[in-house]
Amino acid sequence: MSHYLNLRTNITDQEALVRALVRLGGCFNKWNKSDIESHNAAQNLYGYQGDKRPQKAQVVIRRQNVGHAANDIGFERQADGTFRAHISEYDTGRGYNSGWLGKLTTYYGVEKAKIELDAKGLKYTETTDAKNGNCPRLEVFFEAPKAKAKVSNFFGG
Amino acid sequence: MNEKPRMVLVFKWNGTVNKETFGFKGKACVEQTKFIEDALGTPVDERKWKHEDNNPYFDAHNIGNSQTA
Repeated sequence: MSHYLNLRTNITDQEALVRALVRLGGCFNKWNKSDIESHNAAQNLYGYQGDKRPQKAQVVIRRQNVGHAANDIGFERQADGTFRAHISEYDTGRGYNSGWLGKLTTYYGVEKAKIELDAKGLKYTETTDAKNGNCPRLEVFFEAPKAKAKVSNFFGG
Repeated sequence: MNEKPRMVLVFKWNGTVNKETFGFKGKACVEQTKFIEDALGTPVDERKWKHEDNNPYFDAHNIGNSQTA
């Protein structure tokens, strides 16, 4: 029986988290949105033998999508609104480690920004930044302020 | 120079986000772009100004830009 490590992430938006997980994918296969459970109420996680674990999470990737002989991965909302990752020690050693979580945090930032930009109706383009290891880059365009109308002086001399 | 206002966000692999803005006048920069800082996290560095014409002397004395993490 493997043990769970609690890795605190700085993630607060559940929809952006799901989008980031789809974008990043697993260590052994791609994930579709249907591979990721997103619940209002926290659900139990299960181990590789189908044993119910005490850990619960709102966002869950079931073990068959995590990898061979893997355990469920979950993200549980904390009292302060952030999500905590529940990843077993076994799966941490197979690639779901701080590096994977770091990339997830990066993609979360991109997806969260896109949600906010879409809500404001702002236009943007996404590229990669070659100067920083081809990390994601968003360029956002704002409307230029309208020039003030000229006021004619009808009463001038 | 009448540059159209824009914002560039670079999402680094270490989890920090670099935010750089161009073409805003006066308070419009903070007023129109602070929402993204509020959405992404807490600033980890002081807000700094960078010369819009890429003035190397100015840049040399203003290392870094506002960051969110």
